[in-house]
Amino acid sequence: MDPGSLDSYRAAGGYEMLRRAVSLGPQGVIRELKDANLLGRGGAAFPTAVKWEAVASNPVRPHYVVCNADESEPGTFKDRVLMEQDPFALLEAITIMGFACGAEQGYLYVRGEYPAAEARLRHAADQARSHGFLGADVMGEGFAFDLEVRRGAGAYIAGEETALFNSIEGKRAEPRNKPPFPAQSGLFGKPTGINNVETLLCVPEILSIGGPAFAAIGTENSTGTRLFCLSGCVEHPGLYEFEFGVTLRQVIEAAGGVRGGRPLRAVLLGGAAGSFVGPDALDTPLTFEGMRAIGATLGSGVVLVLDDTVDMTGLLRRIAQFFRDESCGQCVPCRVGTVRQEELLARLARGTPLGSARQELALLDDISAVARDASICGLGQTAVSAAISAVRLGLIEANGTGGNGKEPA
Amino acid sequence: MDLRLGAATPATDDERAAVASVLGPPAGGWDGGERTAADAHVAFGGHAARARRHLLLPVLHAVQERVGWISPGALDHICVRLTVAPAEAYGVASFYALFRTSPSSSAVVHVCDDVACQVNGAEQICEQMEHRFGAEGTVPGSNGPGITWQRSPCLGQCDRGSAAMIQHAGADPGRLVLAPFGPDQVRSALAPAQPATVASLLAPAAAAGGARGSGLARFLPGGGGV
Repeated sequence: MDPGSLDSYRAAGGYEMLRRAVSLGPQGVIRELKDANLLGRGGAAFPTAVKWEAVASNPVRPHYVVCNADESEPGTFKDRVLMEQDPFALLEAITIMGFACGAEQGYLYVRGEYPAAEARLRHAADQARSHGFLGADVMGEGFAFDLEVRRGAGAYIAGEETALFNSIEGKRAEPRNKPPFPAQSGLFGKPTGINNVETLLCVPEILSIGGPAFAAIGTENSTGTRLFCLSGCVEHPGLYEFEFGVTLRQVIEAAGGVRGGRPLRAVLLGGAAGSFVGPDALDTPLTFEGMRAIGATLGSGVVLVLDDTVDMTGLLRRIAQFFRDESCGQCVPCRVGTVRQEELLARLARGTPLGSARQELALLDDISAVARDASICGLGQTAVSAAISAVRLGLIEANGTGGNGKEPA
Repeated sequence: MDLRLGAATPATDDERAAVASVLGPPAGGWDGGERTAADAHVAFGGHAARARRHLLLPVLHAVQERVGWISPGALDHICVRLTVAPAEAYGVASFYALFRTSPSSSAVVHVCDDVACQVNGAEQICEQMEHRFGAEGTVPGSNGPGITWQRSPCLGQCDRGSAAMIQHAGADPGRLVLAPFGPDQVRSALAPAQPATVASLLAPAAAAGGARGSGLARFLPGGGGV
């Protein structure tokens, strides 16, 4: 399919699902999503139908819908591939969302580092508008919907939904306290539905095969298919789609296995905000519940494979530096905690711990607990999770006692 | 709103044109245009004037692309046009990594050194960049032609090896993603002999080419290929 041509998209069955959505009505669309048990693919795995229903039933007007395409989690590139290859599908999906949520205005927030995706989406939106698929009377079906493509400006935190609202509003991308949730008070203080690109693209699929059929794919609690971003030390890095229930081993084997046949040291699951798992987790199914059981997360579908040659300490320090740099600075646990984490990992790498390595690791635990409990948003809450999981797996080599050499009493 | 502006030098014509490309020409003295006698007898402000705040990022992008940085004069002009306090606008401009609030080269190379690229030799590439273009963040000369490089968080190109993005400011601005990236590519990507290289990425014709990027591999029972 030609991502620059509306005709080619329609020839492949494009916009038929919007037609079906209109015939089902807003409630019907939401019922299908509920039957499908669709969970958000952006990282938080929240039921999509619950969000949409809360927006649709909110008496406050106007309503807005937003597509979160500010994909910045290190190791994630699925939304870029989807937007570059099939921009019209995303437009159709967000139009369905606007119809179901009773919104006449949508926003597509694309990160500034994706020029090709943005260009294709803008071009697609222009074409859709001139052919009546966006505008005052969409497809002659008597409802209005239009959307605006907005460009991010290089802030990881803007991918947090309320920070994204602030960014569209022309403010610093600082997350807001929740509640109120976006369905009550979102963009411009109005009820807002917001979903990730991959989640939205599940919607036409659900309308096509029906909610119950979608729910039959995958496992009971993780329905449908999932995209995995394979990168790092694999033979064929790329984007892979599997039904939920596939194991980590199968995913890595599909990508040709570990590069050069080297032994696997660890896998970073879910990106910098995710956690490391060791080779013993290879047979865990990559489902929301399977990951929860081993204390990991699917996050945005990152599978960063690391072999035995990788400098783990350097990698961890890069993650710590990333969070220190990307913390918006609004709340203390994250702003200070991310700095302390980076300093701590640097001390361990130098072999000069404060007190002993054991004390340092206890301090890391403390930082993690405080950040998790007291941060406003998910960035702070997960900023230390990768380091904690690395400690658990023994990936950090705390160099003996170091420092003053004294173990705590 | 009674705005207190502090810039020593007013916005240049280029900067004003960049702002106008998003907001349209100013209506009068109240939003940054020529002050006429009639302006003294009316007042525009309140909610209607402040309701345009959401255009701040698009306007900042326009100035950044045209001039390469957001000068104090440009920022003041933006504040008048959108009725935003200068401190607020500076807070926004300095928050985002792709906006610069100090004079910069026309081309900024963002070299990804995040986790996935680190596994693919990002450190060696950064060393080569340092050797070729000077230390990270060096701005050769004052604002104008030149190349500055800096490390960047993940650019979302993890399937293609080590990546970089060139942010190119000027009359024909653009952003160009290079992956896999090597320092040799910088000059050829920006060479005047190929002025279309940066712009072509944004053209829909290039979008149709499909030369970029790996596809999506589906592993679904009975699902077939892509």
